[in-house]
Parts: sequence; C-alpha cells; structure tokens
Amino acid sequence: MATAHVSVSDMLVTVKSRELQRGLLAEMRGDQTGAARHLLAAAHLELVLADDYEQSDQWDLALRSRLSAASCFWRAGQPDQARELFEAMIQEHPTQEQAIREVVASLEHDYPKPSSSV
Amino acid sequence: MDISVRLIDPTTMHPRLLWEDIMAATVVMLSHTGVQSPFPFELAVDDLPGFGSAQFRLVIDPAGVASEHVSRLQRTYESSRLVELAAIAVVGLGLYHGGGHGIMDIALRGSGADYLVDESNHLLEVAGRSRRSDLGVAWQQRWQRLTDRMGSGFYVCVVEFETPAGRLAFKT
Repeated sequence: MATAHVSVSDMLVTVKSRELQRGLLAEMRGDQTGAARHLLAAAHLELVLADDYEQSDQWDLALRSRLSAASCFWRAGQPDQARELFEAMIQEHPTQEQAIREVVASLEHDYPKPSSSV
Repeated sequence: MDISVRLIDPTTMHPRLLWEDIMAATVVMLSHTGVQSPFPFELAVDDLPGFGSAQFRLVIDPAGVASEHVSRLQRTYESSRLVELAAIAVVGLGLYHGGGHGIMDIALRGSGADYLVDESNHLLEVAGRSRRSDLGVAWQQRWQRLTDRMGSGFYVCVVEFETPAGRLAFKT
C-alpha cells in the first residue's frame, strides 16, 4: 500500500506564526490574558504542524514545532502540560535530551512556576 | 552601498509575519538617534546565500507608519521591548536586499524565539541592543551557541540603536 505524502500547509504556518506573534506582543504589553489566548492557539497549531512535519519526514522541524508548542503552553500558564510534552520529547529523542533540558531551564529561569523539575 | 527603503516594505517582503507594531517600534528607536528622517542604518552583511558580503547603508523612510500608532506604542512597551521589535525590521530589510531572502516562520524555544528563512528553512536568531558597546558580546554569544548546536547553515543578526548599526551573517 502506498504511503500518503502529507504536505505542510503554508496557511497553517502563517496562522501559527501570527498567533505566536500576537501572543508575544501581548506578553510584552503585560496583557497576560491576551498572551495566554494567543499562545495557546499557537501551541495547538504547533502540535498539528509537528505531526505534519513527521509525516513528511522533516524530523528537525517536527522537534522544533514540539519545543515551540511546549514553550507556548508554559508561557501561557500551563506548565504541567508543557512538562508532559518535554518529557515525551526526551523519551522520543534521547540524543536531544541536553538541548531539551536547556529549553526547560530557560523557561524555569524566566517564567518560574511552582512545580517540580522535569 | 546606499539602499533607499521604506519601513513598510517588510509587509510585502515577508508577508507571513505581522509588521504593524514592529514598524512603529522601529520609528521610535530610530527617532531616538537624533537623526532626521529618512534614517540611515549601517548594516554589515556577510556570506548571505546567493549574495555574498557588503556594507549596506539602509536609508529608511518611515512614511506609511501612523504617528498615532508610534506614540501609542511608545507608551505601551518598555524600551527593551521596542529594541527587540525594531531589530526584526532591520533583519527583514537586510535579508531581502541581501539576496531576496524571506522569513517564513517564527517559533518559540524556551524564553526566546527563532525564525526560519526561505524554503531551505535556515534558522535565524535576532537580537537588538540599545548600546553599541553591547553588540560584540551579543553577537559572540549567539554565533557560538548556534555553531555548537547546528555547526553551520544558520543566520545571526544583531543590531544596536545607539549609532545605529548592526551585522547580519550566514554561517556556511
């Protein structure tokens, strides 16, 4: 049976990028409610993109999207969901463990939450 | 090399991103240099794919950016945030005039963000600084970190708004 080739939607990338920008701008303004709304939208879109990248054998971009999704969840005030994603990434990409833990460390430093470490 | 540009040009050069606040932040930062519009900006570009190296003198015309928006933005964002945003406008102009490159995507990586350039998906990191004296350290940090992580095939752009000037390079 032939494997279906999944192309990554330019429109999805654009919408995700703009939601992420809106989240960052709201964060810069100190508008935490607005930041959370847009960053959560970006997080879910990154997860869709990560699957699409995996199905098109673009593994580096898939990992980048998953790191971005987890970072968005964290900065949107959902660190527990972010930690689950980081932990899953470490399990799936053990050679990238140090890089993933560096991302977590930067979030713990700049966006501290009262939770246990990954 | 003098290049006359409009600050609104990135909206068509890199249509996947939102530029309104970035353009207004750039007007705020360039106005602080004390130079009248159009604003000169010295940008060194090194080893850009399909282009090479050059010393750009961007002459930036802010026409089309509403003064009310600029005033509102100045009241809304801290100066460190304005510097971050303005740096993105400079890299957008530099990439386009240094080989016609386009920013395709932005993603978060922990506390920071990075970009993808062109269909080749080359990574780009951007930083802005208020003071010229901070440029060298910011450059070395990013260049070394990405070299350690990726080896080659990435862009770094660091700019400062005291002179103002900056550097955009591609690691081959």
